[in-house]
Amino acid sequence: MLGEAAPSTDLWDDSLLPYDPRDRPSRQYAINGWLATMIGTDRPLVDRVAWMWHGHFVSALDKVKIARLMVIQARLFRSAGLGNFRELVRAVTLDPAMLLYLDLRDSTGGQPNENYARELLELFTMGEGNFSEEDVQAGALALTGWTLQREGGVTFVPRRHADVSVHYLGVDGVHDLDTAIDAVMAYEALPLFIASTIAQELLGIAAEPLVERLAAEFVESDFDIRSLVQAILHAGLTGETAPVVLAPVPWFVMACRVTGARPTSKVVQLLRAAGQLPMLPPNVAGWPGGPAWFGANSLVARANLAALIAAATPAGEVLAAAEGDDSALLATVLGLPIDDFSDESIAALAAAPAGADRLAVALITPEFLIA
Amino acid sequence: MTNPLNRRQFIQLGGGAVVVAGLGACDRDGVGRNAAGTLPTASAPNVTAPVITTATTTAAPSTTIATTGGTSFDGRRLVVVQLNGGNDLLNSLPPTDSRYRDLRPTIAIPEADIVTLSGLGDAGLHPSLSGLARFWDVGQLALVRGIGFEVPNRSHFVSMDRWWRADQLSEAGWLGRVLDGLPAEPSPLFATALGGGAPLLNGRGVQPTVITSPGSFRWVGFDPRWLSAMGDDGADLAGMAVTRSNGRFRPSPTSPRSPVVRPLQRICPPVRAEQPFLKGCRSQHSYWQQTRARRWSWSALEASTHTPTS
Repeated sequence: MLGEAAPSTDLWDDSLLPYDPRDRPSRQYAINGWLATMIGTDRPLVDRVAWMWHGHFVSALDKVKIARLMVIQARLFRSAGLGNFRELVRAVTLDPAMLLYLDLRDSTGGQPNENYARELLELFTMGEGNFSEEDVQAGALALTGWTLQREGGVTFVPRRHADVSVHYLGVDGVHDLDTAIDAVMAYEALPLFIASTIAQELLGIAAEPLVERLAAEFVESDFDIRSLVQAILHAGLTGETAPVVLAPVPWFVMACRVTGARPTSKVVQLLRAAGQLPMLPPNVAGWPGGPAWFGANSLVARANLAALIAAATPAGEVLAAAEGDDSALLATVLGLPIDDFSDESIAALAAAPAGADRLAVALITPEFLIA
Repeated sequence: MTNPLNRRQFIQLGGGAVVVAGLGACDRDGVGRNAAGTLPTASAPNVTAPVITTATTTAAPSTTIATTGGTSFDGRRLVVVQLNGGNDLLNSLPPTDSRYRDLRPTIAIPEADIVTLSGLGDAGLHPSLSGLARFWDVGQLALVRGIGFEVPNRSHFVSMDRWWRADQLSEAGWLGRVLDGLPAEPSPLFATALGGGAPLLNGRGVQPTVITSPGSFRWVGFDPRWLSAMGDDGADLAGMAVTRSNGRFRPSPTSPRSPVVRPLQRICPPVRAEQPFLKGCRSQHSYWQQTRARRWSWSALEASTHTPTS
């Protein structure tokens, strides 16, 4: 079995996170806290999957504004991210930050807001083309009535709810949150969409027969995310992976974990320049992945970050390896296969002064940028 | 609006993206003024065919928009300014149709404030757009109303995809296709996006250079000459700017390679874009048999075998 769902302690201090949309320092604190939590975790898979859900069930601090609510959402992804997908979808639907970000808290029977109902289908569970406009409208009605109280309390207000029965995703009699989610979970497009999304995100797997098998197993497990992730990792073990370009945050976290560096200043500034900051995805679709991360300015920012990480790397086997000329040793201490560095990368390593500079080069070699 | 936009102002357009491309092959008078007829009919919502409206006057073109450096193509540039987000057509170009005021009793633009455009009878400009009127007067402004597609599904993302790809969802960005068709890129900055990414400029083989700010090309604590051994001159902006993201997956045969991308090609030979990734191209490294317990993604394996109870 994979690790238990209970994640290691996160590093946010709630006393520094007031329920105050005007408190700007807490936004920076929330972002830094997530980076530190990911770097320091003793359950890397839990945090890797939580990060994946952040890019999938997107909310963003610039609209939510209350950093505390974004932290609550991040904690949801850490605690429930490897649980049951149905439960996760339900919890995300009623998550305070999500209620704000996609406007469900303002959605009433008299004036249903379709934002969440649309993204629930288009981005979160089945993908565009698998549902109709009528489904979006029906879903919006079924999901009315949930709203947000002060300090993040979520409550159902019956008089705000559309007390009607709708036809939703081919199911009659849908009338509230749970019947709506039942209909979503029963919809045939869902398992393939989710299996494909996770397999692509974690291991770059896109081969159709494999994804179809993973989707079928996902249904058999009654939508157990842990089993799905486990099956994906096993597929990886048997070589069914493809290169995944590491996004700036996962790359930064990995580099810090492997070197032991804990850089402090300029991190957020440089990650922003590299194109990715926790809690600030560009839009509800999350970050564009893959080769989009190889934009020129993004790579310059990564090189500068690599220098920052290398300069903050404490004495130890990584720095010692970078002091020497043995590229195989350097690869090994960085967690790469011993013969991983290409001739070109080895030449670049040799061109950099021994020590921190050479380590910086190693951290932006293609071998380290691609998982 | 009376001063020419300069590059800094472009860059400060944080919410949008500015695309600059030299288009030497274009007919001198072809860009933006090839629809000569005035079509002053108001567009109904969800009209599929756009209504193109231009002034008929012609005058000598004057370049008032700064361009980024690079190759000169007879001094001409195509500049596309994309402002992300929704736009209220009816208040940008308030119609003279009386139904406009009937349906917008509180938010209609007062009639006295509307900027009239000579020769255009059915609409005018929002007062904030008055600076555009002088371009209209010399025949350098076209207004396209009622853009959409059949059976709109109201998905922001699908709609933007269609916009960027000129309605051909299986194709690359509409300007990216121009880049793909060039025998060689004249310079690394030939196609440049300022601000955010610009999917309309993404080709299959060629990617634009995206510049979010000039400062993002500043090296701090890292000497790009260290990368020159990887095959390209990474020592200057141009050298880094040729880091074309798509090069790894399906490079144009002639596009320059970056220090990072070139070695990637050796690892992963170019594949067709419709093949998402080249399956197993790194399996030769037997990654999974190696120790990478401390690597983040792979450390999942460690968690799978050594589960602390809690």
